Amino acid sequence: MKKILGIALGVVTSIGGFLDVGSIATSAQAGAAFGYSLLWAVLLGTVCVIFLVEMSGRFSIVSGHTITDAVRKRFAFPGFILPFAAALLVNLLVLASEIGGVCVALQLLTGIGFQIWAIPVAAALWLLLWLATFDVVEDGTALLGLVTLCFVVAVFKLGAQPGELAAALVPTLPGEERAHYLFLTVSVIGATIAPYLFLFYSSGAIEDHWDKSYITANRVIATAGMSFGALIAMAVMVVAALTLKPQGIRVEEYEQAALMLVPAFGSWGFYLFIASLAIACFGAALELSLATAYAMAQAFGWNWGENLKPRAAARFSTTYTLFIALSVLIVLSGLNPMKLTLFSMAITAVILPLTVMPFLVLMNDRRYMGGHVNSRFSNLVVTFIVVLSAILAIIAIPLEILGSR
Amino acid sequence: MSRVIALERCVGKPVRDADGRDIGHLHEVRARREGADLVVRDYLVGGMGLLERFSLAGLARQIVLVLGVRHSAGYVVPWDAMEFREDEAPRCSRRAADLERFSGAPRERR
Amino acid sequence: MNDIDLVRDILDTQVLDREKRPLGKVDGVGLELREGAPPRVAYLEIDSVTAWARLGPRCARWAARLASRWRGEGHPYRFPWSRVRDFGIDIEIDADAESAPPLDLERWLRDKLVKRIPGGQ
Repeated sequence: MKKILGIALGVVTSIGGFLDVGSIATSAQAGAAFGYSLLWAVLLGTVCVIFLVEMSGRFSIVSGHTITDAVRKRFAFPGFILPFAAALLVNLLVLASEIGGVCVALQLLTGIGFQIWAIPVAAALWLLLWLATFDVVEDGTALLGLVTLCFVVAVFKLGAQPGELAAALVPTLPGEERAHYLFLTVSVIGATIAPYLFLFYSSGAIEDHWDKSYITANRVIATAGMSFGALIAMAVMVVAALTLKPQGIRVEEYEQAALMLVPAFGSWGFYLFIASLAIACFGAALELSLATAYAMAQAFGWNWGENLKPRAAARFSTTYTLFIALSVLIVLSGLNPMKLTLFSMAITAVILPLTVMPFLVLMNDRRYMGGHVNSRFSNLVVTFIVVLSAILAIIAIPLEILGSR
Repeated sequence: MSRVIALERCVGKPVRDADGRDIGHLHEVRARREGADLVVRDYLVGGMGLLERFSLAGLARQIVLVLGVRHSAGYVVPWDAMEFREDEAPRCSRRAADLERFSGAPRERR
Repeated sequence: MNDIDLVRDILDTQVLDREKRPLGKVDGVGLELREGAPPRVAYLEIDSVTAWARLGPRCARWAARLASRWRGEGHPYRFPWSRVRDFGIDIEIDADAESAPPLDLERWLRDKLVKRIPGGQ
C-alpha cells in the first residue's frame, strides 16, 4: 500500500514538474505559428524522455551509483571534462531562462520590470535549497505545479476537435516558413528531452534510497509521469493554436502568450497563466540548481546530498549557491527572456547526443547493472535517440541563425 | 634502480614497436594481485584504427562492443616488452608481428 | 577477483574512507618500474591538479600554479595499494575523510562560509 502511494506521488510530481520555461515558450510559439502541426514533436520527445528517465532510474537503483559518477569512471577525466563543461554552461543558460520566467510572471502581475525581480527570486530559490530537504523541494513545487493542469482544462473548454489533434501526431512539413518550423521542431524536442531532467532523476533515486524493489515503481513513474506531463505541454500548444493563431499573434514576448487562457477562463485566465509560468519555472530552477551541484559533486568525488545540512556538504552547497548567483547576472543583463529561452533550448539540443551516448555503454555494463542490463530493444531505442539528437544537433546551429525570430 | 611514472599520463599515448611502427594507443594496463601488491601483467594497445587517432577509441570501443560490431584486433604487450622513457611515448621493444593479438571483449566479472 | 584492469577499474574510481564517506576520485596511479621484475603499483593518487594535468602540459602548469598559491600540505594525496580494504565499483581505503587533505576545500568552505550563514548548521 505504501509503495502504491509512493508511485502515485511520483507520478503526480512528475506531471506537476514536467512543464518548465522551455516547454511553455516553445509550445506557445509553435501553437501560435503553426497550429497543431508540432504536436508530433512533443510526442516524439516524450517517448525518448520516458526511456531515458526509466534508464536513469534503473541505473541508480541497481548500481547504487549515479549516471554522472559512472560516466567519469567509464570515460576517464580527459574524455569526460569537455562535454561536462559544455553541459554546465548549458545548464547555466537554462537556469537563467527559468529564473527569467519567474521574473516575467511577476512583471506581468505587478507591472514592475522583470530585472528587479531577479535578485528576490534567486534569493527565494537559494533559501529554499539551503533550508529544506530533498523531498520538500521536489514534491512541494511539483504539487503546486499541478496548477498547470489549467491548460488541459482549457483545451476542453475551447472545444478542440480530437480528430484534428490525433492527425497532428503524425509529422508533416508546412508549405511555408520551413526554416522557422524546423527551428521550432528542434527547440520543442530540446525542451522535452532536457538532460538535467534525467540526470536529476538519477540523483533523486539515490536521495530517496530507491532499492531493487523500486524497479517496477520506477517504470510506472517514468512512463505515466512523463506521458501525463507531456499532455500538459501539448495542451499549451493546442490552447495557443486555438486562441493566439486565429488572431495572428506571434509569441515573441511572454506578454503575448499571457492572454491565451482568457478565452477559456475569462480574466482568471490571465492569473492562471502567471501562476503556471511562475510555479513551473521556479520548480525547474530548483531542479537545475540541484542538478548542477549533483553533477559537480559526483564528477569530482565530493560528498553530496540535499538531505544533508549545508555544513555537511559544503562544496555541494557552495556550488548551487554560486551557480544561482551567476545565472542572476545573466538575467540582470537584460537579455530578452524569450530569446534567451529559445536559444538555450536550441543549445540543449546541440549537447544532447553527448549526454545520451553514455547510456549505450552504462546500461549494458554488467558490473553496474547486474542482470538488469538493457534489452536489445532498449539499446535500439537509445541508438535511435542518439542518432536523432545528433541530427538535431547538426541542424540546430544554422537554424538558430536562420530560423529564430 | 627503480623509478615511478605517472601512469595516467601514459594512458592514451601512441605506442611504437621495435621497428618504429605505430601499433596504436595504450588503453589498458592489466594487473594482478600478488600478496599485498598490485603487479602489472601486460598492456593493451590499439585495435580501433581511425577512432584511435581521434581519441574516441575509449568511448567508441565500448559502444562498438555493445552493438556487437566487429573491429580490428589490438596488441598485447607483456610487461617486460614495454619501456617508458622520460616525457616520451611508451615504446615496445618487440616487433608487432611477435606480439599476441586480442580482440577487445572486456572480461566480465561478477 | 585477482585480475584488475588499472584503467578501467582503478583510474577515475570513487574512493571512500572507513565510514564509506567520499574522499575523491583516483586521479592518478604511480607505477614503479623495477629492474628485472614487473612494474608494481606504488600508490594511488587523489589530486585535482593531477586530474587536470592529464589534459596536457599547459593545463598541468596552470593547475599547479593555482594550487601552489592556495593549497596547504598533504598534496598530492597518495596511498599505497595495501591500504585498500574493499574493491568493487568503489575503492574503500583505511583512512579518515574528516582529516584527509582531499577534503581541505570542504573544511575551509564549511568553516569560513557555511557556518557563518544562518541555517547552515
